[in-house]
Amino acid sequence: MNRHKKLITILLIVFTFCTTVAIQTYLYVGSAQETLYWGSSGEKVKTVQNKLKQWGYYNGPIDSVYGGGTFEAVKAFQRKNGLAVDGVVGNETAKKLGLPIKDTTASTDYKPSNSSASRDDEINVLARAITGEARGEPYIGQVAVGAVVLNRTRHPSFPNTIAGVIYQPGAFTAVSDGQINAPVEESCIKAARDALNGWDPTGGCLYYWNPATATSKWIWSRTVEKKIGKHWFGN
Amino acid sequence: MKKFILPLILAVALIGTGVWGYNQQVEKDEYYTFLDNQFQRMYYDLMGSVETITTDLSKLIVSSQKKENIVLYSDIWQNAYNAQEKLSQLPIRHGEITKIEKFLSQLGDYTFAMAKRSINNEALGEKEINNLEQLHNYALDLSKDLHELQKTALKGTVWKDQLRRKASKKLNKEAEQKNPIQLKFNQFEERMVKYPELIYDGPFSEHVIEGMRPRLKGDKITQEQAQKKVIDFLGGGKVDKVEKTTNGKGRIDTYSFEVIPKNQEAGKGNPVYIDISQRNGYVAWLLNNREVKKATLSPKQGVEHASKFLNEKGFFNLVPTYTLQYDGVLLINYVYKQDEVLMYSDLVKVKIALDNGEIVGFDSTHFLTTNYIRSIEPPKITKEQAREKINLRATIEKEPSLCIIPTSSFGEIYCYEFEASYKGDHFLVYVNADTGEEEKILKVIKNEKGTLMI
Repeated sequence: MNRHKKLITILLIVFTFCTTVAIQTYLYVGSAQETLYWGSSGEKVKTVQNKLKQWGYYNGPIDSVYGGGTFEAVKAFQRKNGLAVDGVVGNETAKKLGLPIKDTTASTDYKPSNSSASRDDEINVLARAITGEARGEPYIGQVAVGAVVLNRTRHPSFPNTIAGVIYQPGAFTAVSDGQINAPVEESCIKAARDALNGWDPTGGCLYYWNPATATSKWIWSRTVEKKIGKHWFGN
Repeated sequence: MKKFILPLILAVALIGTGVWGYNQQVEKDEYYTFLDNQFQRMYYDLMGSVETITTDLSKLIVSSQKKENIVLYSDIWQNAYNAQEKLSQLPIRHGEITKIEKFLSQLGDYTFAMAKRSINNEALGEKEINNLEQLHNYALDLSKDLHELQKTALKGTVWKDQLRRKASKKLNKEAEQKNPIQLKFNQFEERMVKYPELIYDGPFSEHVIEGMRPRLKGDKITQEQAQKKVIDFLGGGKVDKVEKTTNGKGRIDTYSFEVIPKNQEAGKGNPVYIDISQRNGYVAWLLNNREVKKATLSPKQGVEHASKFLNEKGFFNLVPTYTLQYDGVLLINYVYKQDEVLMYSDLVKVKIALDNGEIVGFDSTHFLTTNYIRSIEPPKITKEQAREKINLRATIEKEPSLCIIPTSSFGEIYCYEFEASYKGDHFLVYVNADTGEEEKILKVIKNEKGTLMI
């Protein structure tokens, strides 16, 4: 019984080893740049024809067949680029043509960055600012505060990023007194999402203030465009 | 013996407090110094950037080489951005520096637009040289002011005072005027009053802020008419009460309403907010923040509901493009289609609650400001020609379609849209349908919630 197990294990190891080698060999062969010459055909020939046509060496049809026209065009291309004029697309010519050459020594695998990007960070920081600034305001007032932050990022007189606008010294009292670090309210996350998705109840306002508590004299020089809850919005 | 105990305890307490206080003081000074150093560094960076900008701008005027120009433009662009970023982090009141920030943003933006023109081999005209000269002079003045301020005032812990004065909120006028930093920036702001309005192809250009609104030319409706539109839009059976709130002004002038839906317990739940454009009475936007407990509809059914709704409300030729699902609602972006050409600038957003297919969000402000009947010519280059312009590394997924994409400065470009992929990443590539120029690439992010373009 024990022997049996051992045998199976050994067999498994050998099998795994063989398949790995086989796959690697296959990959290696498959990735090497194949040489194209008169008589070749296929997708790669089409690519070469496309390139040559774009650069004005070739004016025949893009038919994926390496014929006389392509041959002459390749030769013309090689002459122009100081390559050996043989009418064959080998490694050197392919490189000059800008075709994807598989580097057999070391290649970095491109990792798709599809899944990593998201707007969660933006939603988060905006929701925190809204919580600090507009807690207890009607929902529309919370969206409006978020919209003001976003309008600022698009205006030349303000920083260009959401974090830049929110953390600009003295811009928001909730940032100065640390309220921005309070736990985020549910409705504020929704409001941040709506603001980021383009809803703007203020019609493009850049400022808001609470007339009951505003201390800056300068803010009173702004024109009022809209009043929502306790806040006045203006430009 | 007994009478010494109390004084002894008090003495120990006093010494204890003293030590504690001293440590607090030391700690506080450390923080201040740390902050001060940060601010000093930013200030030096700001000065350096403005100096580089000044030199580069003067070089640009005498340079004749396209290659050199592009290097100079990108250098100015980078430095303007850097300077603006540093300036906005310094503790100076925003009101004092709005014009300087605007100057720096526009300068960067302008030079970026010029760099693009330079690549297209467009030479600088009389007007551009004049603009560059003016920008150079302003940069020079700003640079001088920053230096002078640095020499006279920025010694020791000046930023600390700046911070404290803000914190105390007792801005006594005299102290304010004596404050060299504020004063200096004030002077520069005053000088910037004559700063020219720059018009060019960039997002911060002056004409952009104006925008255009062909759909909103027409008769002004009355508030009663607007109120009727609200009830029509939401469906009369659902409305309990319509309340008037302050009107909206800005990009679109609107009548604003707050609607209390029927079957809502008094004092509970959210009202529906809705704005009607004063001209022609379009629904500009709507927001209903009601809770969606359980999503029972699929995204596909959601899109069906939304499309039906739009048709009922008289929005025709709108095609759903991409969707995003969150909090039990589905956000759908609709774009206008004319003669088989998609108008990406003419955007209508619809939010559908996935429990009963109700519309909980609507936004047509983009559509209202940009949509008009365009005269669409056949493209000057064919699909095949356009396809050849695309990088060979990218794989084309399907036949291209024609569309109009908005530029950052409210312009429009007529393009072929290609879906392309590269090793698992997906892209939309836009090739100009008249010139064959590759105009824009968007990356498509797909996840379980929906699709996002960046």
